[in-house]
Amino acid sequence: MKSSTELRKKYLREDLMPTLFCPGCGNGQILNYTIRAIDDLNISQDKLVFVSGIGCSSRLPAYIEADGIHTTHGRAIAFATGIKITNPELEVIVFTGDGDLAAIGLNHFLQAVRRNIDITVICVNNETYGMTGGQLSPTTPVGYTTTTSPYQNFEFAFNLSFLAKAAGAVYVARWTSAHSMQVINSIKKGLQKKGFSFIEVISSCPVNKKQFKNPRENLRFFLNETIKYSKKVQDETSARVFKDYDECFTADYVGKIIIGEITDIEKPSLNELYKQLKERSVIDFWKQRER
Amino acid sequence: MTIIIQEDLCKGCGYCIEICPVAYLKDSNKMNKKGYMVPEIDNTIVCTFCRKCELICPEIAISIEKEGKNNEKSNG
Amino acid sequence: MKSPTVDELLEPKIQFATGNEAIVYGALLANCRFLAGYPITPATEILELMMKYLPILEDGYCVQMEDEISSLAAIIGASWNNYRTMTATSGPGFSLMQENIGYACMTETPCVIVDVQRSGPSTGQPTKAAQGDIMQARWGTHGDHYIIALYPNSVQENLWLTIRAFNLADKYRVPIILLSDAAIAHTREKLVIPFQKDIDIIKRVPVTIDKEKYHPFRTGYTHPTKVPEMDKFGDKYYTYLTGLTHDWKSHPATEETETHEQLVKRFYEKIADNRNDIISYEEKYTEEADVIIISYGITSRTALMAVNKARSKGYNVGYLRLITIWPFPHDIVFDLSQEIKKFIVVEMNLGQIYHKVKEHARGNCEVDRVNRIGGHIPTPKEILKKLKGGRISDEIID
Repeated sequence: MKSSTELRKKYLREDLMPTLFCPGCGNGQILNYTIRAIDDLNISQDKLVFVSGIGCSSRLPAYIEADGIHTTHGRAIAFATGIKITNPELEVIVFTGDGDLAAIGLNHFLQAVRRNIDITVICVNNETYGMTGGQLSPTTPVGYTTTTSPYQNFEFAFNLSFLAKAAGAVYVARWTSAHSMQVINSIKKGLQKKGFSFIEVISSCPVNKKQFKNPRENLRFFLNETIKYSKKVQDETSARVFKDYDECFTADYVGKIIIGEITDIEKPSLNELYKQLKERSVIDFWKQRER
Repeated sequence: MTIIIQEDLCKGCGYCIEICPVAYLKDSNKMNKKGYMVPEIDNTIVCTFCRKCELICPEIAISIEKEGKNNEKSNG
Repeated sequence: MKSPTVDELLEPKIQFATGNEAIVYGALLANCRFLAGYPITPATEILELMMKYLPILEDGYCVQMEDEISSLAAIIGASWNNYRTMTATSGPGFSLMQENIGYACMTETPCVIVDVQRSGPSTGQPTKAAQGDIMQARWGTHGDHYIIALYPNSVQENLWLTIRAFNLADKYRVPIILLSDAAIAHTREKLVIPFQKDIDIIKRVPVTIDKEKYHPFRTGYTHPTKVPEMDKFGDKYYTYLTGLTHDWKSHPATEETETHEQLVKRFYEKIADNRNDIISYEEKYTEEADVIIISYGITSRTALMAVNKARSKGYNVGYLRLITIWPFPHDIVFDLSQEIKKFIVVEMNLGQIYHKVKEHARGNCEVDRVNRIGGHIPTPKEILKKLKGGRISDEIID
């Protein structure tokens, strides 16, 4: 693995540094992991395209020396579909957040999984809307207080990794931003896999998440309070473990995070199937013409 | 091998200090240009070059490099 | 097996075709090779035909997306792979697309959006023609922006204006709204399909400068124009696009007033400076006219019949048909307003172009209107009645 100095020089737009992210933000860590993953795989920078929606995580493509497109809220995956279908040679990576992906962009997310488009989606899940000040998001755990859940969140939360798995994604993994090597390896695996790869990274939002006094406490939580995914925990409908609903409202509720590789299967990607369709349609056309 | 910290990129989050398994990095009284408290090296400890600090840093400010370059912290 | 060429695909060369079919043939001749769409009456045939034809052609792809928002998103993304792209929808879908139209304006992405208008608002009358999206085409998306909108009035013109739409899109790096309506879309008329060699195809100006000197939105350093050269994804030039206000290096510049002003004014100027190249209209009998009937699209068919009938009865009537709806051809309207007594604007809505005509006539002459909604195309008899000073039963105070 190259050193940070070499990686910064090769992959980052150094005139824009330091980044706009808050001290301790998970986005910065994911930038670190992504460029290491790309470098390890020797992917040509010319063939990389980063697509993002709106939010803190969507500011990532601006920092990377490669083609990038910062689109409208929730629609990043729809843009990525158009880009990948018309040029299968490109390596398309989507940076998105939990609000961008699971609220406004949920439909586009699930449809792209269904089509099995060969893209890699990295969801920076900080369980809140960070850029706008810390509102509730579809992944905010039950019981959390946010600016739009002043009486503690009573809504159930999505388990994004399971949604992706249920819709048919070929590679799904969830880690936290503290699990450096695991995230790097998952990104590498996702890039090499044919089809829709989804990597969910539970991240810190040091400014808006009121649950922790400082970023270091958040890091300790990520390192200690996790449970490895296995068949035994597969029926959990949220990314966090809880015994019953009421437990979430008590002061000592912890909510361990379930992490691990959720699924890893093989399935033909859209581009492969489209190529076959094109061949069929041409043969059909000439056959019709002969008549 | 040596550790180089680009101080002008540091935002003082303290992740590197927290994750170091041998406490080679510690809090300091030094402030960078932006007002963040940057980490400093404890010379009584031996760094094992596990690279955890390099990976965990959100600013990619810590670089583990081969000896022969500037051995001190870079004051960018 | 080898893919056929467009000329081989589009056979026979003389067809009894609908307006929607003509749009498809025009797009294929203009080298459009990607369409993403969603079924909606009365534009569904465009999606269905493209799903059939595009896979047969080399590098052609067509996909049915999950809604209109993602359809436009997909074609904007694909446009950056040096593809000519198109989508087709109607009123409700067009309303959904507005946010991404703004995005295409801000990132200066060429694409063609076909809006086959139907009676609205809301679900309205899906199978009936209307002209209710004229103002939406211009101002639907928020903020200051400029688009070009074209509106053909015959099946043959559908084909030629589609080709022109792609050329204008690539020349000015702006989304083009190709308007149509449920009547022309489903009417069958004689269509002559040209050979590709007989068509003018304007290409995008590619980037050729040294990699170190490349900046996505710098204009005027290799060619004297306000339209930047267009890169594509996947080559040695790295292009960052964003919907945020940006400088010519494409770095977000949300705190800079001057940068925003320069950027947004340049969007206006690149179109406004070239009005003469972009605007087209058809005028008949306007030299000595007292009254001129202004119309566009389907209403221009009956308006012309009314004008001819009136002239045969001795009335001094002229005919002005707008082909480019936006930018609005205000020069000709102002010039004519000084020579005549009255404009009559015939529309299938409750008055949209009427207000623009009134604005640019600047009080030099009277401006009256014939408005019909509900899918009823104004008949020549009704237009004649208004011409003769018939009762103003459709006066709307707004």
